[in-house]
Amino acid sequence: MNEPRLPAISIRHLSHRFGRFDVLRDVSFDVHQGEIFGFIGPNGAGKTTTIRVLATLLEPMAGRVKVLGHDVTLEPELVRKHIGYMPDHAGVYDRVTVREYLEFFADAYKVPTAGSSYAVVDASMELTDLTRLSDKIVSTMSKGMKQRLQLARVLLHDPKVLILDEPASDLDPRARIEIRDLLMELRAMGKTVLLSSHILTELADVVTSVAIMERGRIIVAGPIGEISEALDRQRRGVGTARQPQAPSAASPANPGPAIDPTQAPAPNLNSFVPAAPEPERVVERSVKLRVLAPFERVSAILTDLPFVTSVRLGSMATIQVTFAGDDRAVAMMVRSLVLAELSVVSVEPERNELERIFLEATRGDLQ
Amino acid sequence: MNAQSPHPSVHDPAPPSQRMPGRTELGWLQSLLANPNAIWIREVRQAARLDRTPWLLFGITLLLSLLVASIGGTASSSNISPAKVGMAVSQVFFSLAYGVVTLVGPAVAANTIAAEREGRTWEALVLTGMTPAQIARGKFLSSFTTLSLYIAAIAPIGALSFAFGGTTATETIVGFILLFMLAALWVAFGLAMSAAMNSLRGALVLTLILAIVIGPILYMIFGPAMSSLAHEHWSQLPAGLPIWLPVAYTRANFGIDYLILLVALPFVVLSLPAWFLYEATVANLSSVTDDRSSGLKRWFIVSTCAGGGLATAIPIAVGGGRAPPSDPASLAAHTGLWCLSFFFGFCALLFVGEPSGPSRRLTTQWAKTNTSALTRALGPGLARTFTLVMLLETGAFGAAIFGGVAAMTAFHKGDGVLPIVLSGATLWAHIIFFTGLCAWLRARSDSPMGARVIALAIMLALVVVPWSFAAVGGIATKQDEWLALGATNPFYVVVILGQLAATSPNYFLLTAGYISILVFGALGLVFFALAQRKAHSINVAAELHYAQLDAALAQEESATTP
Ligand SMILES: Nc1ncnc2c1ncn2[C@@H]1O[C@H](COP(=O)(O)OP(=O)(O)O)[C@@H](O)[C@H]1O
Ligand SMILES: [Mg+2]
Repeated sequence: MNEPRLPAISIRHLSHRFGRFDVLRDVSFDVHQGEIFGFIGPNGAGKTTTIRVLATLLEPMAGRVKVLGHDVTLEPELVRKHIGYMPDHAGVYDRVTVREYLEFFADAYKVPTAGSSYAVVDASMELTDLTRLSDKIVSTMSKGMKQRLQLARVLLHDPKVLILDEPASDLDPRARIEIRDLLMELRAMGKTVLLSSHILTELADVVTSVAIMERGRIIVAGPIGEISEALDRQRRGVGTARQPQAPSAASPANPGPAIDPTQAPAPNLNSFVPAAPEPERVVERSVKLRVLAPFERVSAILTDLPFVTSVRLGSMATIQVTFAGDDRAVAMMVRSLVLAELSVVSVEPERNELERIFLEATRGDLQ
Repeated sequence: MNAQSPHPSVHDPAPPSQRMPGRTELGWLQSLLANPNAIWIREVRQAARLDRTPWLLFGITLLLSLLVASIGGTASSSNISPAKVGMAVSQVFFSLAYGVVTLVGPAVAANTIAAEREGRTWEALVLTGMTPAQIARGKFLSSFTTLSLYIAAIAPIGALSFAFGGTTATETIVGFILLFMLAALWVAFGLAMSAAMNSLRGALVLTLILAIVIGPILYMIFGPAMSSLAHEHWSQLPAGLPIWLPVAYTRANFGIDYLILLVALPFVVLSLPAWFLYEATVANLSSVTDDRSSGLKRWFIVSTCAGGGLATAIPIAVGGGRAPPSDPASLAAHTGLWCLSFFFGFCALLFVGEPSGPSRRLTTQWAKTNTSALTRALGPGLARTFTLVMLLETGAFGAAIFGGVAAMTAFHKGDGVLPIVLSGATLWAHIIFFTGLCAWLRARSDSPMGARVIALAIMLALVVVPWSFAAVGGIATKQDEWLALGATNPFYVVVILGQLAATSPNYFLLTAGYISILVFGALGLVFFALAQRKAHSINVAAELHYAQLDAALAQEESATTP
């Protein structure tokens, strides 16, 4: 997907305020078509507010927000046709069955039907695995089932962009896995998905891009790979400066336009501005190893390696190795162990990529 | 969820809709039945599954039949003629039915919209692209269906009155038709309240309180009070009956007065409030940047024409009897002027909800679709709205004064013309003042509710304070001149009429009246001009803001795209 396409969602300098409280301050990011975009931040960061603006339910006070090229303020009807919005705590109607519920929304969406048969409802029940439950009264369903019902509902009019607010919160692990599988399936169908979460691990293995929001500001946004590269570069370049700053174009307290044309053009927020050619400075990382051998032997071999800085016994019979270097260093460790005829069972980075980005990018007062 | 399965497309090509809009005269009915409102279907279904519905129906029916039967029984055991008993039974039945409709209608309707908001289903509904009007209609249909069920359940009791005689089948049927119309009105009232409020409990409580207060007042005004007036006009109608209108249709003499008083007036009195409630509901369901004005303004124009027309025609229609000022024609003329004043006062407060100008979305849309100047004139905007209001106010008062003067000239050789002209002018001036004040307060305030409260408070102060001083001063010094303080409010009309009727009028008091007409008329125009200027500057600032925003975003765009 290299050809420049219309971004599915484009947010520029979005600011919003409730009373005198700045909820969103100069929020800018893009979601490209086909992405599963994770919108992460602690409770109260402003995720839901941003999402409600996207869903045309809240008029932004400043900035411009477009969905597939349609401005949410100027063409809300068109935006509504293209999005499927699942609110964080949606309600359902009393005394209607799953099928009736979906048929009602199919009618409300004016989805074409052949007489009294709703092909769309059947298809969307099948996709969300609700066919067996079609005669169940919706208000008696479990949270996970209701969540799937909501997904089935937002799929009825075949939207290109799905906007899901905290789709996995309050779900039991099983329901969460099911939702995740469903998201992958939707992505394969060519849909763009933006989903918010205040819990990092919910999303870790499905999202392709993220935006991290804190106190109404975007701290970092873009494809995971790009962000982590940029983070590495930045750390090597600047050393102590741990957190990249999202540029802020104008004070949100300014009642006028949110951006000041006299200022320098806002940098592209989708990737970090790389620091100037960097003096090579080595980054410390750590991995968890499982080796079928006593800790002392492993430790002895690894501490001999020049780039290893510490070797500790980790939890669950793993060995935690801190080292300065990249993946080649990891390979070297494994090689040394194997050459010493030790059986290496597993090697895993201590944190997954998303978690790492998160910790690097935020001040650490999240979670 | 089998990941291997071919991905089912949610949109397999389905045969095109077989729902074709009807083209006959009853096209709307056909399309309603062939393509029913989704909300209606869903809510009727939900109501059918509600276990308590049949019990409620049964309870109300039982209670009503016991009441009516006991009245009928007691009456027939004494030696009253069966016809009278039948009449009494029918009066009691329809009065109780009115009570049921007044309580159940708003309660059922108040539930619906607020429940969607509180149950967090509202946003999903709005995002389907259903328009506020469609939602309002669906909600209306479902509430009305429920209420109709109640009426149908108690209908057999209404037939009891036949057993005694005294009323005709036609009268009973007309009674039921009116009951259904009132039911529609009360449902519309509950919906409008529900749409205006976010909380389910708040909507229910407020709606019921208002229904309990307003219901009996309307019953007294349009029941016993109007029946006495009707009896004066058509002596064959019994006086004092609360349910007199069905009787009037069968017993009154046919003529121009029949058409105006029994056809046009009830139609206007029922349909214009219903229309208003509908437009208010739709406006409250729309977002603030939608066009929430056009519908209400259309209603306002038609209502003003109807109200002004009736205020002009009724004095002429009822004719002269006694000498003015207590003859029917001049009574009708003065009542008409006062009704217009209260109507316009209400509308001035209503249009305080106007934004200073159309939203950016609306102007963009207008530009794109080449919207006609007329449609734009009906659109949102403080200046255009209040211009319209003031023009129509002036026109309606002019017409009503003309009607009164024409009636006086025809029936009394011009006697009683001056009181009508002076009352009309005084009321007009104060209404213009109030309208201008409302516009100005709105232009200066972010909150329509706040502006309304202030406008009402000012009006109240202008009524209460001067009259209190006038009363105290007048009693202390025994001088009538103190009454001139009352010229600060429309009720000064009473003083003017008193002076005109007196054998030696107090010219000081009359002059105060003339001055008040000039001063308040002028003040209203000044306030209006100030409001217009303020609104204009707000609109210009907003335009500038958006232009700057657009320019800045465009500049940024060109800077980031290589
Ligand atoms: N309608 C509202 N009125 C006032 N404050 C609000 C409103 N909605 C949200 N907020 C406040 O805005 C902040 C951001 O809320 P939200 O967008 O819901 O955060 P998140 O979804 O990231 O948890 C919170 O502090 C919240 O209290
Ligand atoms: Mg939230």
